[in-house]
Order: sequence, then C-alpha cells, then structure tokens
Amino acid sequence: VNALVSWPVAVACARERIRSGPLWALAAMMALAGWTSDPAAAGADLFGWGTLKLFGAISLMLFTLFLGAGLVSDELESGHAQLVLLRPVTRAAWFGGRLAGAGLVLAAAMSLCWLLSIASALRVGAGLQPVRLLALPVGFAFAFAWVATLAALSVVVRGWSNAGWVILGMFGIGMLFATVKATSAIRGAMKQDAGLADLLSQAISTGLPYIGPQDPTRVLVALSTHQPVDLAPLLYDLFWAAAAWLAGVLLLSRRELARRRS
Amino acid sequence: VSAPSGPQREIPIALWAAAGLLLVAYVAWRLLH
Repeated sequence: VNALVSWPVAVACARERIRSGPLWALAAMMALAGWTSDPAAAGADLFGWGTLKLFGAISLMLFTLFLGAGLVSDELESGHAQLVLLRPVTRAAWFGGRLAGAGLVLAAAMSLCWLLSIASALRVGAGLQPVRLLALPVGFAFAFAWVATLAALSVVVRGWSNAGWVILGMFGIGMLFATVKATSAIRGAMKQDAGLADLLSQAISTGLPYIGPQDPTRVLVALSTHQPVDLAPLLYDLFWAAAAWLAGVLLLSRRELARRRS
Repeated sequence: VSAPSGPQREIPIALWAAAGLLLVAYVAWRLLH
C-alpha cells in the first residue's frame, strides 16, 4: 500500500486543504443539503444528479472542484514537491498521497452531509430506509472519480486551471451536443436531409456517458423500489478513478520537475 | 539540477491491476446484463 499512497503526504495535503475558506462554506452547503434532504427517499438526492433536487449535487460539485483545483500543480510550482521527492518517496506514492489527502477531506464533508440526512430522517420519524446507508459509498465513488480526474489534469496544467478545463470541457461538450441536436431537429422539421447531423447527434449521445464519471445514484432508487439494479455506472466510476489515478502517476513520472537554470 | 530517475519513477503494478480488473468487471457486467 505504501507504494501507492504516502500517508504523511496525504495527512499534510488534507491539513492544507481544510485551511481553505470556500471549502468550509461549500461543506456547510452540503451539510444543509443533507439536513433538508427528503427523509423518505433512498438518498439519491444527497449526491446525485438523477433527482430534481439539485442543491446537494451542485454543492458537492463545487466542493469537488475547489478541492481538486491545483491539487498537484500548487506543490510542483512552489517547489514543495521537489523537496519532498528528495526523500525516499516515489513519485507514484507522492501523487497517491495528494489524491488520498483530498479523498479524506471529501469523505469527511460527504459523511457530514450523509449523517445529517440520517439524523433529520430519524428526527422526523419517517423511518430510515436501509438503502440510505449505501448513499455514502455510492456517492463517494462518483465524487472521488472527479477528484482523481482533477488530480491527473493538475499534473500537466498550471495553477487552478485544471478546474477550469473540467468546467470548460463539460460546458463545451454540452454546447456541442445541444447545437448538433438542434440542427438535426430543425432539419428534420424542414424535411431536409439531416444525415450528418443525425449521425453526429447519435454518435455524441452514445459516447457522452463515457467521457467522464457516470452518476451511479440510480442504484439507490432501484434498490429501494425493488427494480433491477444496474451496477454499470458504479463500476464505470471505480474504473474511471483507477484509470485517472494511473494516468496521473504516468504523467508525473514523465514530467521534468526540476527547472534547469541557464 | 537534474531530474531524479530510476526507482523514483517506478509505477506500482497494483495500479495497473486495479484499473485493468475494474475495466474487466465493467465490461463483464455490461455483457451479462
């Protein structure tokens, strides 16, 4: 395990991240989302995009972006990383430590939100659905996959621009999809040949779920309503997190860390 | 200052294994359902 994660690095990273003010504000928003979540529901509204109650999902998304912004690049640019790596710590363990540190902070904030949701359900006396206990691990897999993505990006881009690239990427792909969909619909309505637009629209909607972590919280709804459970999004998120971690380690091991002064 | 090399840059086999196994698990689930 020590080859994967350097725990002293993880603890230092978690300490440094919880000094951020905006992170506390967003954690408070997540806590509020937990306290005000639907006590009778399966808990999919805590961290998922599937329900129309997006307060929890949006707070979690912003928290994740703030947490992952500059996660690696801050250390590389300040020279801290280079100093730590003079010790017998591999680059892989250092990267794993940064990621695990962010994961600890993420787990703490999500646990707070989740515990408050359980407390409020018990207070109302709505009866606790056992499925709600699974909301934390399922939601964590989703959010951690995003943090791992931000960490891997942070190896190659400067400062906090990793968060910018994630936002830009999601926005850009959304805009592209909307444009292609609209073009295809307009051409269809005008009875024009929409061959290419249709094809593009289909290609994008098929590929769209695979270019980032998938929302796995539908699993909770399926479990609580005794419908067939689709584990695919959850497995995809776990794979995505591992792949992003690996990509980050590979990129870091290839990066020139020491600036040569001429 | 030269960049460190050798053992510093080792990639843990466990990472490859985890990513590979999870990919296999995902594909297997999709094929079986």
